Amino acid sequence: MNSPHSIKWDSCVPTQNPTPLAFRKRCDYYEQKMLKYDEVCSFHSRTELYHAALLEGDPSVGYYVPQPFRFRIGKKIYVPDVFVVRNGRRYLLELKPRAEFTPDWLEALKQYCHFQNMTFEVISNESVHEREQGAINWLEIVRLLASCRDINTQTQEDELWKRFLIEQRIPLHALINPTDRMNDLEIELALFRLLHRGRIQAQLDTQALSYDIEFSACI
Amino acid sequence: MYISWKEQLSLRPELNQFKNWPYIDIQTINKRKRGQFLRNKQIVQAVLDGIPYDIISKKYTISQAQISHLIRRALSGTDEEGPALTKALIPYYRIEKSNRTSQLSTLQAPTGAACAFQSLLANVKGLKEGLDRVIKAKLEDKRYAQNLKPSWFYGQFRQLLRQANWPLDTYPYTEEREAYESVRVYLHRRTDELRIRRLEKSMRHYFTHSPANRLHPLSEVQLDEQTYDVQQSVTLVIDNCASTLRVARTSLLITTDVDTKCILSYSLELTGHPAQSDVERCLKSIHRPWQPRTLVTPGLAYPPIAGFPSSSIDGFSSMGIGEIQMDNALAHHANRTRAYVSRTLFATLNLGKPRSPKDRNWVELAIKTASDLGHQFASTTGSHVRDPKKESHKNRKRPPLLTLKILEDCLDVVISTYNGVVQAQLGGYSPLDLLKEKTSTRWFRCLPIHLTQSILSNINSKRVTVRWLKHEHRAPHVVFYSVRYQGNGLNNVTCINQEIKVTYPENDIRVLKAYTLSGEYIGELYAPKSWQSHPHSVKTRQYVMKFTKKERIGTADILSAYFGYLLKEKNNPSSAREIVRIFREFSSVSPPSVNLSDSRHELQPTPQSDREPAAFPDWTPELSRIPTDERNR
Repeated sequence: MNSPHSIKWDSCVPTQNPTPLAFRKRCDYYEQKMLKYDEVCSFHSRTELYHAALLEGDPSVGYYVPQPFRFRIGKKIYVPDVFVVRNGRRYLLELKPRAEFTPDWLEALKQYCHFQNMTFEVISNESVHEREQGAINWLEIVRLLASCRDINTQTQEDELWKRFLIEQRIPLHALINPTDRMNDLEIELALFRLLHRGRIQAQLDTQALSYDIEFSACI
Repeated sequence: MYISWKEQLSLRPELNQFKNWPYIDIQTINKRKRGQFLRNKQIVQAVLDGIPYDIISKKYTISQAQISHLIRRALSGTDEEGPALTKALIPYYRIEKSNRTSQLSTLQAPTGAACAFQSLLANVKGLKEGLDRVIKAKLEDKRYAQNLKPSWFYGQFRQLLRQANWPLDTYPYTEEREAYESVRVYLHRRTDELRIRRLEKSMRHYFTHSPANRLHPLSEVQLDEQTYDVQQSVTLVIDNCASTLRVARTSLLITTDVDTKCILSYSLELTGHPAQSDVERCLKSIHRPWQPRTLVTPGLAYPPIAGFPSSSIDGFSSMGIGEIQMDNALAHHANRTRAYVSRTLFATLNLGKPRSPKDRNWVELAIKTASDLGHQFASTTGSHVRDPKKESHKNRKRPPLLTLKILEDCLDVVISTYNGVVQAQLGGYSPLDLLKEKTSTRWFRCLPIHLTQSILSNINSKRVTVRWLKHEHRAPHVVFYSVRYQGNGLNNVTCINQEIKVTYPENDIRVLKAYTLSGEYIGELYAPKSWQSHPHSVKTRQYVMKFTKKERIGTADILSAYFGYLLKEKNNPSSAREIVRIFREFSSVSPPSVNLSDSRHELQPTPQSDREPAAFPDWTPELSRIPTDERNR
């Protein structure tokens, strides 16, 4: 590899690196229990949080790991933002304003990741914030699904799926009673689980989650 | 690349119409130049309309060369900067930056100082960089920076010229006054430029978090704490002798819903530095139904509008929270707080950027509202050390008239009433009504029953490992907050070196209930007898452990020894505060369990015996007849 920077990593297994207390105090720190990475995830900016929410809503993403590796580039330590497995391919992503990244490091990391059968990409913060509404909606859905992990809704999912095959579009208020939410919690969970798995779809990027939002099957 | 006026017109055909040129309001032009400006406009319009030059020159009494010069000035230019257009028609308007073309002034050949400073900056190696370095050091607040005064800056300028071996018979030495003025103007202009560039750099990453996204109820909740600026008193009765003690300041924690400005919960903690357990208690009280206090203050009563969402909104105890925003206090970074937010509430925890109180402006406003009450009392400590509202030296010699119970009553009434008061900024709604309306019309996240029960119960749990030190000839034990607990259930070989789960009530950790990780009940575990005398919480255990280690105390009854120590120091306001906290804990009873099916509570006061410790009587006139012992006991 013809690169002026030597790159080493501590471990090739993507595992979330804990954020030291000093850095937690300096950055705009977030924590959230997610689904596709089954731990409490740490994020160092709102952009990273939104990006993770969008990954949760992307059915082609199998799993992701925030702050997955610790690279040593020359004398400096570099921790990328997220490791993603999408459609069986591995990506190492970095979120930066206007996708500006140190050119030397960019080239070196691209070569190194290619050698490790990964693709290194820099994503702009602006592109994530363009989908802010979708990210906020997915955060709410993730919170609901994470808090109800132990509730089995297989039967309700099967019934809902059959209903979606018959009816084209179903609004949320037709599935759950807004005045008696606890009674319909399992149906709501089943609906959002189908959405999370990509079996049904809804326009979440343009409107907030409400009782009027319509769901339809992905066929 | 230079573009001539004819090329410009072919590249941009719309400029053939003068109406497409930028408009300049004639009122903004100097009166003396307006006539000439209008004439220039008419000449250019005539040229663009195709009228021959000779006709234009006869009409306006101007040579054809001057017409060409005017058109060239208006339409030609470089492709980076573009043509000057209408601005060029203003007489004497400088289109191009001035450049010095003649040699700099010397003693033998003085040529003036026009544009000489700019020429120096461009030609002297290291001069511009050196001056900018000095300005940047100050803007970046470096330790070696110096305050920028024009005279000092001029000295730096001369030093840089000396380093560049600049001849002493050339400008700026020939025109010192003009050079000084140029340096002074350069200092101010360049400082502003670099300052704005730094501001732009820090603002570039700023994304507005649109309030339109806070459509769901409880989508954002802010929590903050502050030392409450008022000291109060308590009356301690020992052997029928009453001592009135001054109590140090307490800490007020408040949680607020950002969208509706509704105060969801608050707690007044008897400590100067809230710990993680205090923060967790305040967060738990968001969902726990609020019960009004039995008011002991004469004349104080709850108005009908007073209330909190937990008691006024049906099903509030099962409403999920979106994001909880806190500052960077250590108690917020603690594992217990983070675990409660992310693993019990499954909300997003946001510990914002340091020194950004405006990010949590709504909870700061709520704290201010509560603090205004404290500043009304004479025993207030004020907002700062020079605050005229601060308690006078004369009054500080005696305990204040304001008692802790009266303060708690007043705070409860004020904060609960705030939620019911109509506010103009909420469109004529009160915070509570607005939250009710949003809850009934908007989608929100529901918590499952088991999580709601966990939040509402007073039982906590922890994982511990069973150890057995055979060489010490002891029974198997677990270590729970620095103390060994034993029980018959642990006398089982299969438990040794295995993790188990223990559950315990918040206010009494003398007895733990042990379960295996699969949920099978093992039995009860007991603290040693030295810890069995009084019910106490984890926080008290940790305080006492620290105290006994520091004071090297070993007695059969550690808790009583600690309380006795505090009684000896009771005249210290901090010790008095701790006495009250410890006493309330030692004499506390478990609060009644909450019936989930009936979470709406009427505004009924709770019975006196459930809440108030007997040793701190309410103020009555008879109290003054009890002999007061003010000497140290």
